Amino acid sequence: MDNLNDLIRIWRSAKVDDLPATQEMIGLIRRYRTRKMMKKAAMVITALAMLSLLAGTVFFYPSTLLTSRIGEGCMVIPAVILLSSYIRSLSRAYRLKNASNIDFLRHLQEGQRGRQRYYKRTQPVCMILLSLGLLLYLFEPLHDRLSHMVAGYGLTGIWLCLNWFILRRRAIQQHERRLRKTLDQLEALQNPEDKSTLYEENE
Amino acid sequence: MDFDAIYRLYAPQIFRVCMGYTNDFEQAKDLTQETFISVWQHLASFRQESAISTWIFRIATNYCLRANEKAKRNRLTAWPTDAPARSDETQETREILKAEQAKLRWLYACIAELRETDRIIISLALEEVPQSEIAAIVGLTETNIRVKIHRIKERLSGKFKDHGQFE
Repeated sequence: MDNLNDLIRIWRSAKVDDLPATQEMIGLIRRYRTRKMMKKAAMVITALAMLSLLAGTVFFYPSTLLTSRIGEGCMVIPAVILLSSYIRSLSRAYRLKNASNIDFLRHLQEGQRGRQRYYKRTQPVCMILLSLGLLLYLFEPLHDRLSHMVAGYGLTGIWLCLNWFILRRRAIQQHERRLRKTLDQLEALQNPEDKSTLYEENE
Repeated sequence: MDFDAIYRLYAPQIFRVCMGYTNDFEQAKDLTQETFISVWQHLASFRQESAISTWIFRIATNYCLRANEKAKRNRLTAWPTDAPARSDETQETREILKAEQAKLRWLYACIAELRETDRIIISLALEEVPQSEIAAIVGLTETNIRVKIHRIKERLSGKFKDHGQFE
């Protein structure tokens, strides 16, 4: 009696009918794509809402000082930059809706590189403009009384420091961790000779 | 090779390997799905330095090992056994199928008693994956794999004999 062949015969008797069919699996993958698209759409809607809020404030409470006008301009520019980059990204993703898996994956990888550029260049420029814009815009409502200026600029300064030195740094670290994890995963999957991840405890 | 063809060719094998590793029907299904989502995600970046089957089995076994801790916390879901009998099945056929299922459950139970890496090695061996490929997936030498398969096979056969399954 060949025991291994007996074992193989038993092993092969397992029914695999309950597995999702190819079409169902492709459906699962499409849902994964949709989730990615929804995230981008949510970002665009948020950016649009913020831009509308800004435009509404400017329209209903028109400013008189030049500092306020410059401040408004400084805040509108980064909002437009962010909105246009999100829309570009969303339209690229929409065009790829029916593209092959390979094209879609390429798009995701490009997006990943784009995010790196965003954290290194676009985001600091936008934050500098927004901070400057806010400080200039606040001058008009606060300049009448010294106590208001001290309190207003003090709070704004704390808020800007919190954004620059804590929230932004944390967001970048989180992004880098995610990127590192993805890259490690990719390397582990692509390098069949890499043994360190799995079986070092074995022998 | 496109995703469709890959899925049709490897999904049953991957499911059986996951089932051998987890001995849990629902978890094996989930792991198979996760494996193929990962295959789809990374297909374009696959550098073809190894056979595609090695790569896919590697992803699946990675997922199995990662799922281990989770599995220990969860209750196992048994292989569904109450499938309705087909009208063309005779009593004799049903008895044979029932006996086959009992043997399969016993095989999974025996494999579940093995160490994690041994579970993966024997699952791949039972899928008739070449030993060189198992070595590449697991990260051991081919000689080591050959010895291990021999020992595991002896152990499983012994258990089967003790249980009267090969009579």
